[in-house]
Amino acid sequence: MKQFIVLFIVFINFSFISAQTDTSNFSAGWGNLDFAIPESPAFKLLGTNPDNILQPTSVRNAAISIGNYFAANSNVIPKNLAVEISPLLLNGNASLNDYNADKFLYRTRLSLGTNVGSNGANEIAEGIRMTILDNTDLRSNNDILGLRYLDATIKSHFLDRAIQCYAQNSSSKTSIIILSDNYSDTSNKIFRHTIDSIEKKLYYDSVKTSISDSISKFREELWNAPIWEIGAAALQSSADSLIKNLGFAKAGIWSTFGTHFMKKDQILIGAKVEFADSAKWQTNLSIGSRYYYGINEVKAFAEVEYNYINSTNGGIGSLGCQFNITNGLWGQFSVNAVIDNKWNVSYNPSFNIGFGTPDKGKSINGN
Amino acid sequence: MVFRRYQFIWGIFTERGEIMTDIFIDPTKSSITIKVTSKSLHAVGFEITVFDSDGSTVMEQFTGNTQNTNPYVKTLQQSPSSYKGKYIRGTFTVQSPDGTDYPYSVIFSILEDNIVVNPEIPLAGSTTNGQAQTIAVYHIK
Repeated sequence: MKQFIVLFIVFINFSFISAQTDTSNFSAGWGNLDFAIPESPAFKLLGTNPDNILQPTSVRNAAISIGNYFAANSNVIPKNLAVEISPLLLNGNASLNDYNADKFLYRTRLSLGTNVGSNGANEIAEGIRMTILDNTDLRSNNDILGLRYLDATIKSHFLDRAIQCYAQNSSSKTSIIILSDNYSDTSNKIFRHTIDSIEKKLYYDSVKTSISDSISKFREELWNAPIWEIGAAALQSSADSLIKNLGFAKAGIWSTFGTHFMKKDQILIGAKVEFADSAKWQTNLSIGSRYYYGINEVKAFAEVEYNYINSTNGGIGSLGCQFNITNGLWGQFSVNAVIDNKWNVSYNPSFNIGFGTPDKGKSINGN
Repeated sequence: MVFRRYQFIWGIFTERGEIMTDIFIDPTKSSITIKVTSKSLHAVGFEITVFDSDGSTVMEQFTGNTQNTNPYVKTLQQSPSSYKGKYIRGTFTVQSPDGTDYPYSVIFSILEDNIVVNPEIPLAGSTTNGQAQTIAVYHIK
């Protein structure tokens, strides 16, 4: 019960923080693309989930991952936590033109994670994620942007036309400049609503269809478009909580490519190379594939993975699902079967929660 | 001017203060230019209209957006002295690429001989259902 209460408080606080930042200039300027919350490289290297495929997702300004919350014994404070940010997206003055001129830099994310290991050791991980290709990103989709700019230009024209129509049919002989200024007064809701209604009628009489409706279809279809990411992370470990005792423990490099065969599926192909400081240096390799089936909000997945760890062969098979709990809050449950080099199979469930900057309004209409 | 202090809407006179942004230009300059700058991750489209001093007669009008050039700049057809007493109005529409809501920021400016004349008009707020529309007016003096 305590876990549910803490989880609820975290969610409420997160929503509150988001509501605050939505009105500040600091947070201005980016879409959130409510696809799944990405697992950050730092989170992945902490090893809260045995699989080694780093799920690629379009960049958000910030995302938080909490690992194995319910599986991590009875502690109220979760032991695994990672935050990932895109430093350039924190620039509130970035325009779409800036974003598209430097997509690679804007999509580069830094992550920081902490963990308390099973032996009580404190671990800190730092990661970086770079996006080589992201066709899921609506902010850089030329077809969508072309439609958006065209629609915005047309609607600006019809706003002018609506005010003219109002002036022509009004007996007050109020000048267009005065009517225009009244429209910009946001407290004048009745007048704004009247002009908006006229504009909407003029728009649909002329354009016949909503360009925005076409864009919403794009959004539903693009969650599984081709995407390719590379990530790297380093982890330091300390037997106690003293920073001076932190020592390098391991580093990892990931690469994942995602694409789809059908409208409702996605396949991820990933590889990871890990260098671990154990009794002697180990180089571990993992290659795997994960298959999703569903829609953006709910999808099931199956995964197979080959691991070459400590000069022995092993593997992982997983089944699970990823789901959108509410706006900006995602969950992922999986059951993992870990196979060692002697073909012993161990069972490992995991439940991860991701928080990302929420969308305030997910619907798109032609208003 | 009467209409700068009063409005008549829905049969009711209400008093208002300053209703638009006064801007003082130097009539000896050779050109006057409109500049629209997007400062957030939004598609910005607009229509700029120059009204005569009666506030209703259209002198010049054009549409544009910030897709290819940000900031968007366009020089008006006549010399600055011709615009004294006139109004320059911009109707703006901002849209987020994915239809989600977050704060937008647009700057509407006037330049003389490519130098910004203060004040600039900042347009800011948040979109609703991925879109916001607003209007800004300069009164040239």
